Amino acid sequence: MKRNRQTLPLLLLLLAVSLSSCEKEISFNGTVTAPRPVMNGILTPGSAVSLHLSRSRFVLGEQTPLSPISDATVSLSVNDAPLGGPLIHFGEGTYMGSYTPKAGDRIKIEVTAGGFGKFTAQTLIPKKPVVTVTDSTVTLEREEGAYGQIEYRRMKVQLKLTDAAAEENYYYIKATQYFYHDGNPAGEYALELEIADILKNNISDGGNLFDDLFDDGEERYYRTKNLFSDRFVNGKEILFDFMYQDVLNDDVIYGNGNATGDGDATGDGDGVDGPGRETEYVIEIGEITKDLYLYLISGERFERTWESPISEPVLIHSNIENGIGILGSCNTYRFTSRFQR
Amino acid sequence: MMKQTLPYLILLFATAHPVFSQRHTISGYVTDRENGEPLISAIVFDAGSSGGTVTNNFGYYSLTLPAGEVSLEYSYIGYGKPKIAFRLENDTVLNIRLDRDNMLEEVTVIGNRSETGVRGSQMSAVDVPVEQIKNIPTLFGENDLIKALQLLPGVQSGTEGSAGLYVRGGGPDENLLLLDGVPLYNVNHSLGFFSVFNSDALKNVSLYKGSFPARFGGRLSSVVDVRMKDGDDKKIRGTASIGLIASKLQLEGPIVKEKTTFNISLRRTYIDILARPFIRMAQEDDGGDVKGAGYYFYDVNAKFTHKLSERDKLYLSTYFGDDAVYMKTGTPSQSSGSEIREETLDWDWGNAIATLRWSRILSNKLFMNTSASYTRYRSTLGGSYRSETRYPPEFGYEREKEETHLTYNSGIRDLTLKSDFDYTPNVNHDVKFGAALTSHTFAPDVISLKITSDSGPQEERIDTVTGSPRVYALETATFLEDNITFGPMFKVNLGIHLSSFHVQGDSYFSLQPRAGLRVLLGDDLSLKAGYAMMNQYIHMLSSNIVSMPTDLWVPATSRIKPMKSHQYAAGIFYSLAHIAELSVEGYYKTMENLLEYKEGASFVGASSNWEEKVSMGRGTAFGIEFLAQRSFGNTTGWLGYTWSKSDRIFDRPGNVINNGKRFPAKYDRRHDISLTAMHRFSEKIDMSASWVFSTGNAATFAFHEFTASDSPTYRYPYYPATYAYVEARNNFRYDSYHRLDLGVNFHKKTRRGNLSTWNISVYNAYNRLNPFYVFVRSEESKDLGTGEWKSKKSLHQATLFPVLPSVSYMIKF
Repeated sequence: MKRNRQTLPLLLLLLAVSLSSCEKEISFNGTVTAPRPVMNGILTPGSAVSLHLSRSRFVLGEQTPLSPISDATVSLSVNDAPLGGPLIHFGEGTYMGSYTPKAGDRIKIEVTAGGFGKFTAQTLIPKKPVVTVTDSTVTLEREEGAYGQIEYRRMKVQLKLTDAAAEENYYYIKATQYFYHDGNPAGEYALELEIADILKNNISDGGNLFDDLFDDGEERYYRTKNLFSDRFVNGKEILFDFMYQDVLNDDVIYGNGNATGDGDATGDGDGVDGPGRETEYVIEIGEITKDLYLYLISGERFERTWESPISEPVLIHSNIENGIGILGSCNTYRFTSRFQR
Repeated sequence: MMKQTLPYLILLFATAHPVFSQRHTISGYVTDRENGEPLISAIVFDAGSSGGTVTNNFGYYSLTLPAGEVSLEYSYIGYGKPKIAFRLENDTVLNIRLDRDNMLEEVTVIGNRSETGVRGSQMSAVDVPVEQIKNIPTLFGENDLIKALQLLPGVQSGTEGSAGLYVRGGGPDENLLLLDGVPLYNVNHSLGFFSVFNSDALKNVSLYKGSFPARFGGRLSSVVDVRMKDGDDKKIRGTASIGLIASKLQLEGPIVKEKTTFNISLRRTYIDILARPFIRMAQEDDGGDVKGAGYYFYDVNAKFTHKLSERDKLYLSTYFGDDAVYMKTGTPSQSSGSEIREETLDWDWGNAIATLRWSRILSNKLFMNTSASYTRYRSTLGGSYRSETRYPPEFGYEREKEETHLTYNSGIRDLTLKSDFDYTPNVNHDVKFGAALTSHTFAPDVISLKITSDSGPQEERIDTVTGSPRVYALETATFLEDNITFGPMFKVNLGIHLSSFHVQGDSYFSLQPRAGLRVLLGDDLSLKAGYAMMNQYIHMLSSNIVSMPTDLWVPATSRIKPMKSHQYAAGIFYSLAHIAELSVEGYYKTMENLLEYKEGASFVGASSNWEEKVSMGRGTAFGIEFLAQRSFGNTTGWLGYTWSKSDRIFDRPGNVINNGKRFPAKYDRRHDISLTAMHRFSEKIDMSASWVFSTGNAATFAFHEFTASDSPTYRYPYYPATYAYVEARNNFRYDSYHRLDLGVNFHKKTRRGNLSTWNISVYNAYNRLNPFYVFVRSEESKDLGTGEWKSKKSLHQATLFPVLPSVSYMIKF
């Protein structure tokens, strides 16, 4: 019996030691690779070409800041024709040119920089989405609230996008409320976007055209939930229904549930209210390049999973030859509606 | 197809038909004299005609020879070789009982049975004797079939300690693991550190890595055919053992002497029982509310055999085993006994199989084996919450009661009807044919919720079942194979396996040719070549790191196609008389419709929309395997070496991984060495050692960071604005893996004549800290001089098992 009393803890100790894992720092047995050149640029029609160049850094060891490339020669060609002189370095790795791209331009960027070979990228500026306004209604309504009568302005906008047939298209949507006081900007607010709600009126015999998009298993997160492809609606007309409301009187309750009695009916915290105040809704439907779409989606996946040991690692999409990063482009239709207070 | 089959059948009929000379058939069973156990793959050879055959999985043989003088020799390694000479004038039944020959001092190692050795037509296959498995030193002293198979060339383990098999570049779900002919879907206990095979219950194990006979189908990479012992037909005997983490009991014997036998094996771990008092003490000291918690697994193997007549036998084989994790918490009383709260968590997972088999000798040339079988794997996670509050009378109601039960079930269940036949028309043909029909039920996830809430005046009940619907599928298989002898030099195994799979309105059909050729270049030297096409209609979604109870079997669908492989193999086999057996085999394998998780996807919650989380691609694997084995004398063992390469490419639209470029498979390893040796010092002491070495596992790492781009599509600014740069999937290699295991057995006869054995084993004897998992760790520190914070990242490695001694005691009675 005495022997048993000694044996049991000994066995358990042995078992505990056995099952405990050991951890140690190990040296990296691979090759410490040199920094890779990084090019980032999103081109839009009407804006001069602008890029950011930097170097990647090796992750192991003491962390140093990501360093910009400031000695590069950046040349630009449009539709295979070289264009003027090199882009000018404006500091901190930002390079700008004077050319403003147009829809249909094939822009090619070639970069040579000390320590790197030539790295290049190209992008095709998408055409502007064909959008028509099919409904735009503004109503003023009053309701009895817990703290008195509330006056609303409700804006309903229906936009129709005609997707180009027989080609892959990628879109984003965005809605922002801008505030002005005496004609000066006084803040902005990103409006809620529930893509399933916005696309709810795209009904055919088989149900909503976007059902497959909503059920495709891709978890949509804040950063990319406003992106979609025409995979399920190629060549079709797509209806977007937006509805936003503004509370026009003071001392009201906003969507976040906090009463604002500070004279700032906008709820944006800028403290601006009253006469001279204007509000503007801007709804954007933009076409983006496939590379940019893949870059954004893979970037979001990376952010979501990079610390998870059970997830498959994400390779962030890049279209930079001999480098990393993204050269993308977008072309955006904007619907704007501005109201006096 | 018909164009090819018809001439073959005519040829078969012509060669089978006894028109050339008067022939008679000798048939019967070959069994062990001591316990009546049928001997599988025993050789029956006629010296006069140089004709021979081997016994089937039931110990039955049939040999048709010309009339006249015959001189039969029966042989099975470890047994005497009786010779019987007589004049063959009629069909003759000869049931032979072989005596164990202890004088031979010969230990069976691997692969030297008739069909897999120099003279057989089968290549890429090994028979692994169960006694050998028991002698290999293992983790915690638990001898394990899968761990023994991992020591063979062409077979790799996954991560440290895992029971996964990676055969010739294939994945762990591509192995058909058969227990008495019935598939087992999850062969792992304890996240894969142990397998479900209790070696005490087993008789014979055959592993096929390629050149698959047509009777097997349904998996791409290997077949592990495990046979359970029938049980002694003369006297009751058994073994009992006690080890560091588990105890085992095996009993076998006659129910009706030489007619009905049983063989039952039990195994259970007892970490939970040992830990129980410690958990109780810790809870009492800390005032915790854990009433009980633990983990255990158990296995029960049982087999019953009944001889209905000289021609008919019935077999009932069953296995069931479970892993269980449980925890119970609760507050028995608070506020003067007015409130009771109790929470439980139970997670059980395991297999159950049962098969009823009827074997009948239809004629002395035709043997039938018909079976009905059931197999299921299921994982059940259950949680419950119960609370009861009693109120004083002034409340108007006595009590509030709430009960919630939530269970999550997933699994797979098969019902199979199967009939196969062995037909031996003459000494040059050994024909097997048969058909099987399997009904699969896939239950990816079923969630049931029951809530009962009784709060005095209000009563609420919820009883609902939700989750993915069950999926039903039907799989059929038919096969025909013939092992044909063309003179003394050539032996050919030709076969065809035809299968179909019907699921959710989709049907898949597959015609899989199989071929094997042996060219005997002398008594001790042969060349072999083989080809096999395989199809697999089911996939397993798993973590790729360790085996989890949540590993999920799913069927091919309209989007996820069945996996397919073509494997070509060739080899040289040489027997160095009384010294060693040598073989070198090369293989090349292509695989289609393989699944990998998409970038960023994980196995967690894989049951919902699983088709969207995986990509479908292709793979290739090729390699050379070398095996040298010694099976004579006091020192026996084998040396295996494999050079191999296995990669994947996922480049189809919507299925792109690694930018569509080729990448190494997760368990691609260039070199794999295993050296296993056993030495018998005396009747009382023997020792074993095994050393393994392999190239480190492939893993994906991001070794660069870069500035992320802002985007006009973003609705808010995002920080931090850096991304990690992953150059390619599986771009990094862990350190190489090597380990030495040692074991020593001390045998002693007890006063009652029983054999007792003490086993002392050391796993990882030189304490090699092998990598189980490698990760990047970030550490921040403050520079005391400047006051600045600095960040440093370094590579860290977790090791699972350092040196682990263990001891066990076994008694045979």
